[in-house]
Amino acid sequence: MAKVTVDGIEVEIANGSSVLQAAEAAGKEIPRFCYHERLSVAGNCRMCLVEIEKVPKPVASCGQPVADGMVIFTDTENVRKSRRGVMEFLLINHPLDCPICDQGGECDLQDEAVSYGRDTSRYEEGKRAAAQPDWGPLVKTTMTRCIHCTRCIRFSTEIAGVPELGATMRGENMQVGTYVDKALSSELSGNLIDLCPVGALTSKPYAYTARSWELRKTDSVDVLDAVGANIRIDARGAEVLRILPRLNDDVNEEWLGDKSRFSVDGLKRRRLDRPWLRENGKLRAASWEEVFAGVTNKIKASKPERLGAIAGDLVDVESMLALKEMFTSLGSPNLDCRQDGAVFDASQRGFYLFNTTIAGIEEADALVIIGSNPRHEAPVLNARIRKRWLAGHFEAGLIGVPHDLTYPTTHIGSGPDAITALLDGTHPFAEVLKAAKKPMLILGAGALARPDGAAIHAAAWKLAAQFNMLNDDWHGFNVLHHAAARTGALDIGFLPGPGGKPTAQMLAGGVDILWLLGADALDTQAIGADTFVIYQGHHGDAAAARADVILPGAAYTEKDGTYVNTEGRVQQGFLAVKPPGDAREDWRILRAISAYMGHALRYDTFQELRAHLAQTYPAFALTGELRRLAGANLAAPAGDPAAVSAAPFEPVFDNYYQTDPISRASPTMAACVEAHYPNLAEAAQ
Amino acid sequence: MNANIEPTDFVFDAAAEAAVAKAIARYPAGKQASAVMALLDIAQRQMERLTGTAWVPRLAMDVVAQRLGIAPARVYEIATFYTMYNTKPVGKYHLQVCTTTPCWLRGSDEVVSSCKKVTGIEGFGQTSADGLFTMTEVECLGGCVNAPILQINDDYYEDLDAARTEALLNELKSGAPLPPAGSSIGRQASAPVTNQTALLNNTKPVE
Amino acid sequence: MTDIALMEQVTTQVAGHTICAFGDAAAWPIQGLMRAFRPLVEQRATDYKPAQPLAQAAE
Repeated sequence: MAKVTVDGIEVEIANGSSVLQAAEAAGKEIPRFCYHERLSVAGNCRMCLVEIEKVPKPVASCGQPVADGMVIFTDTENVRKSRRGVMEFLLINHPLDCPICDQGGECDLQDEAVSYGRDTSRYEEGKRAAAQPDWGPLVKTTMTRCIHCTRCIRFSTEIAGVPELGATMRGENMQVGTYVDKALSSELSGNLIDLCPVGALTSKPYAYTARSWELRKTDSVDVLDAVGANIRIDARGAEVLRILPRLNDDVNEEWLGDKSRFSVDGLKRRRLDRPWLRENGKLRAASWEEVFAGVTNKIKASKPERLGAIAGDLVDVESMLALKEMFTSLGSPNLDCRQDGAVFDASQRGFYLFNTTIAGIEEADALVIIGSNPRHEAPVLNARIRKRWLAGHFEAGLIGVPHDLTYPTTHIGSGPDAITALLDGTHPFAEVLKAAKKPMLILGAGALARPDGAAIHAAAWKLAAQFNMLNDDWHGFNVLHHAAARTGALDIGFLPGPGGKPTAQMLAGGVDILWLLGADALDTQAIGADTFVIYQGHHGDAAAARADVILPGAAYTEKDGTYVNTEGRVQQGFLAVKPPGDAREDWRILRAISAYMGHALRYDTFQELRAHLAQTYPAFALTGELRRLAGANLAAPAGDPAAVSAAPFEPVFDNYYQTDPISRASPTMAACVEAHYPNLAEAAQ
Repeated sequence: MNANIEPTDFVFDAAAEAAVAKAIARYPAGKQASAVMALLDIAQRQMERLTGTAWVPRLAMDVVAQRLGIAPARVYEIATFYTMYNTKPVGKYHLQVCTTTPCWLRGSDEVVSSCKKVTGIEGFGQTSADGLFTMTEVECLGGCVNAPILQINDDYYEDLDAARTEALLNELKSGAPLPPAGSSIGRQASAPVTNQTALLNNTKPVE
Repeated sequence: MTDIALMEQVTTQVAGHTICAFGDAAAWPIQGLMRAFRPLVEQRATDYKPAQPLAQAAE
């Protein structure tokens, strides 16, 4: 620890910290453009100048390590003059186009210029001109505004792991860019927009839409993957305009995947904004009374064991609980949340959670990924693995389709037989695992969605047990879900009850009436022709086209809801805008229809439902926080580890950008598919 | 100039490979990326050998990146930063005129206008119609004593004035090979123009 | 003339006020020139009648 004095305040700070960090610890604000907590130190914006006793010149505080007894001044006449000078130099080539710049109002340069700059410009010479390269459908470039802080270059190289950006040329001609014209191939490219301290990189879909001060900001949770990234929903009027990440060091740090960020325009398209009824083979618009009556009559006429419900990937826990309790009161055991058809032992929470936790990845020293592509299924989590790899002494092995995961992996095999090879010790990677102190494995949800899912589940657990992944202070067995609703649904037991039918049987004519709660990822062709399908959801996607009754629900931005991420972290999202038209929050629809059927659910308000949830399932009482489970002395999940088939694992998604009803409705995501998967885009046309 | 187009293919030839191996071997294992500047130079010289124009095509940068296991963007950064790497094709003779203050005071403007006159080039960065010359403005070449300096390809031509520059370039234009480098007024190394003034008695340095 | 004052002021912004290692050495010649030869510079600037556009190298 070093003791330093900042403006008379004495602070103690770890050796190796920078002067800037010391100043922050003392509560002093230091202006900066290039410095960023999560990136390497570049020290090229020169804004963070401070004075240090016995040092003749001002010092860039971001790159200066502290020394014991250092006396730092952050607010002297000299410092102010230096910063004013630097500010003036930065502005020499910065255009005065704030009125047409999307960064206006949330621009670091603007703020610092007001705080530290002069009031007028003294330069009459022409400003630097720069080309506007095309970085793909997400990031809009206005390179004349660039102040060469190189944050974007460092982000793409360090965090995103796609070193495509660089600073070419030099001096006044320096340009940040790809040199070769191409779209950025990162799933995290949207974060460049947040990182850019000026308006050089802005959001292309959001261009010229709104000013930051016009927006109503709502904190929420992302549902487009199972990481549960914390987000802020920015809305104006009835429209969600953009989604930004919120800081949460345990989950997403401050990053957000492109799909989660840019799918917002999908929330306005293909929406179900009124109830629909199928009559004579055609859907017609109907009133709520009509569909309630229709559904009630149908259900009353059917036997309870011929009713079934499947919950989708984007649904909040409260709605699922309401549906589950409605079906229980109707006497039907046919419930399933695993629309991908996965069947595995979910009797213990530890069997289906990401037990190591996302922050815990940083403690691991070896990793086996089984049947998953975290870069597509959870890009933010993948960035965490890369962060761990960058720190050194970390080996990753991959079983499944080989991918570029932005860190090197040893390809152990393509199918479950590779797990067996590790168990037998016949594959050299077994030695790596044996030597590791804290090894972990990630079992992709895709690996479980196969006929031998239960066996793979058991085999992976056996692997974890054999290689010291399960002990008192370390739980290295992880399931990586890609559906935001899955963990929550498993937690409340949205699973077949005694004698109940799983998804596959329900689809194959096992039920007469099938209630799909936002379930769009299943094969609608497989639904029996005689099955009466009730679709409750927000987008007119595949399942809505097959439905006989459509109950228009709310998307995640339009309702309060609880979501459980793949770690088992319970998080709450909040309503940012009202659902469109006649659409209603899903739990309300279920509450209303249950009353119609004479089995009214016991809660009249959302608060009552939430209280009931926390009471029934104690895991939900704790929100935001997470207790890590110990891995020792656990029973293995049911399933025969030897019963795995030889079929290789297959990718869950054929592309990253369109995986759910919201992103499929998004023109921005369609443009991304066109840019990054030209073959797929062609096939779709 | 047909070499204006990016080549479709770039591989180090045998001579270059030998140089590459030597350059990489200079650095300890794991630090091979340090050889990037040497490799770019080798690529540029290979292009000169094979096509008569010394430049580094983008493909060559990619090859260098692949060989050293670094991201192509890192190589682009280096190749565009240093003016010694030509990212566009240049003429057979790359005229690099120093116009930094000492050369400028000693008459680099004359050198520039002579270059323009002989080659027909209108400004810096251009290549003459016959593809023989490219004129570039460079910063201090570090030969200020013998200013003004014109660097042609790898060699310095010093103490130039308008007439001598024209003569030099006309010679090259007529197809003669590059004359010996150095001072154009017969100055010995960087000794004073008025001949040596020190160490005249040839005393040996004190041991 | 105002440019001279501006130039002098800017050099004080560089020398001793940036982290640039070259900053001081880049600014001092201008300060020295202005300190010693200001009248001459002013004279030259007043007398200068551009007969032709500035040569490129003289910029």
